[in-house]
Amino acid sequence: MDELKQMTEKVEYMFLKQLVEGLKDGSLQPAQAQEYARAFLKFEPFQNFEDAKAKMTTFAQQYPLFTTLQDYINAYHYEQKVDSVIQKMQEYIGQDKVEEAIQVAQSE
Amino acid sequence: MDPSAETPPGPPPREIPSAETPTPPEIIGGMSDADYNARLDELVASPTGAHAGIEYIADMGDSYAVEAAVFAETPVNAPDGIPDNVAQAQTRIAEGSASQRDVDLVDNHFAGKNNAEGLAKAREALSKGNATPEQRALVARDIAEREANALSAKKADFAELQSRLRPDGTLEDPEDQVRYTQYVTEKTKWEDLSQRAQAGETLSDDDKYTLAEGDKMWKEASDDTSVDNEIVDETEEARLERIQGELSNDTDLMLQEKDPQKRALLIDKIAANQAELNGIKQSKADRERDAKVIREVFGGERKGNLVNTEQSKRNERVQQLLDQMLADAAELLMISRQMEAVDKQRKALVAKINAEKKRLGHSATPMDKFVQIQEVVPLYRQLSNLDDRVDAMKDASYTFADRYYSSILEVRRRLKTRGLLMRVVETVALGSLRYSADIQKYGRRASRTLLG
Repeated sequence: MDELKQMTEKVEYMFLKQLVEGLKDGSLQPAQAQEYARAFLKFEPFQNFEDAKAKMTTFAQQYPLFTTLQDYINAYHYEQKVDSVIQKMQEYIGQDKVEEAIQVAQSE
Repeated sequence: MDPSAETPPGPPPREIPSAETPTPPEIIGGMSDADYNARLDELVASPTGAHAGIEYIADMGDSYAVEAAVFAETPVNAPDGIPDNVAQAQTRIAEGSASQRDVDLVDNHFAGKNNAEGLAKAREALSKGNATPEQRALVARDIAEREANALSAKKADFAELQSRLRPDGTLEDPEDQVRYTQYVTEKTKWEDLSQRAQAGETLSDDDKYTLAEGDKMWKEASDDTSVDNEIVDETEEARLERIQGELSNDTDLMLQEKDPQKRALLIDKIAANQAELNGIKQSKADRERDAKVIREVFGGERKGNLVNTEQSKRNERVQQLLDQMLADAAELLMISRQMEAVDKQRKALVAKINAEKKRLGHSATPMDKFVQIQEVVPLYRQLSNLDDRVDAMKDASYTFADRYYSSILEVRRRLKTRGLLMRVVETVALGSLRYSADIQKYGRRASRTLLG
């Protein structure tokens, strides 16, 4: 799966999760949820990372409830780096090389 | 790193949605109140992706209130295929704040689903709200069957572990020990909740759930153990006699039994009784050996055996050396017992680390994995600290053992006899110091020197 698709799915998941939680606890009315969902879909598809960043910034400005999505996209590359560190640590821990695993975490 | 950074800070989730979800019949649009509730209760995780879910909400029609409510109760699948509620439960497990319901949820999810075609169709029909009564029954049966199987496997596992308990109440395999400890903790919690419920205390929803689940697992077992508790007070001799009697009877029955299942049950019982019998005999032999060593080395027989002899009277230095040897032996004994205790801690820790590593392999999201790695690393540090303690104890034991060994040589030189020294070596070095291979090595070395 390419990176843009992966990131898009993650943002969609986070958005949907927030809608569902709002509906569950009653903090969001169905009509509002519908409006947010329609607005979100208008921003899709994302052409590339920069496009996604710009669109989510606009979306978050219109609907401040969803600023976390903007934060997530902005931090996406950092998250990717964290994933790679975790993978390296896992490999070391799998080989019982704990000190090396800690070093990887400290060096990043 | 804060694990919560991955997910948006939504409002706090409700505990038991089905009990609070408003179900006004007038907006249900043809769906009966019972069906609506049944749909909420029975709706299973749909394979709908997040994009489709957003489209679903965006396209909700006039009856959107109902649809939204139903949708809100449907676990959402994350991109990695783990339903949202399962992922949340996993996070709570990793954080150590999970309830029994979380554990069950994750267990059930990863236990594997029945993919029979009919069942899949029935589930799909249920999720769409158009299941036939037969399909509803099929799904209900499947759920009941899986729960019953899991419960029965759990009971069997617990009984099997109990049958392998050693006299000191522990199990040989660290992984078994960890599992057994979990069962005991679970049972203790259930007993506590039962007592609180009987005392009229109002329990939380989570506690009620844990109690109900615990009833299935422990109620029967608890009734059984009331019999065991009566037996606890019997003397060791009576216990030995009872077990030997049972063994003899069960062996006769087993030889006559034609039914393979009953025969297997009898064999299991015989094996358990035999293990218990071995344990009693072993612990009795250990206790007798300990008592002998203590009596001979540290107790009343000391004067007669070691000090109050013609030879020792002639030489104060020998007396001093023998006292020093006894003191050193006592230190060595204490160290060896500490080492044994640390060794047990170490084994338990290694088992915990292995379990964490296994869990790490099944983690759902990178964040879960990161959280778990953060848990594993401190465990390794603890392990390293324990190893350091073992090394320090070994160093200390070498110091005492070296002095002990030198004392033996000197006593031998002064007394010019081996009989008394052999007794010291046999009782102290090879008897009370049997716990540690390293210390034993010194005892054997001393023994060989004296013999040679």
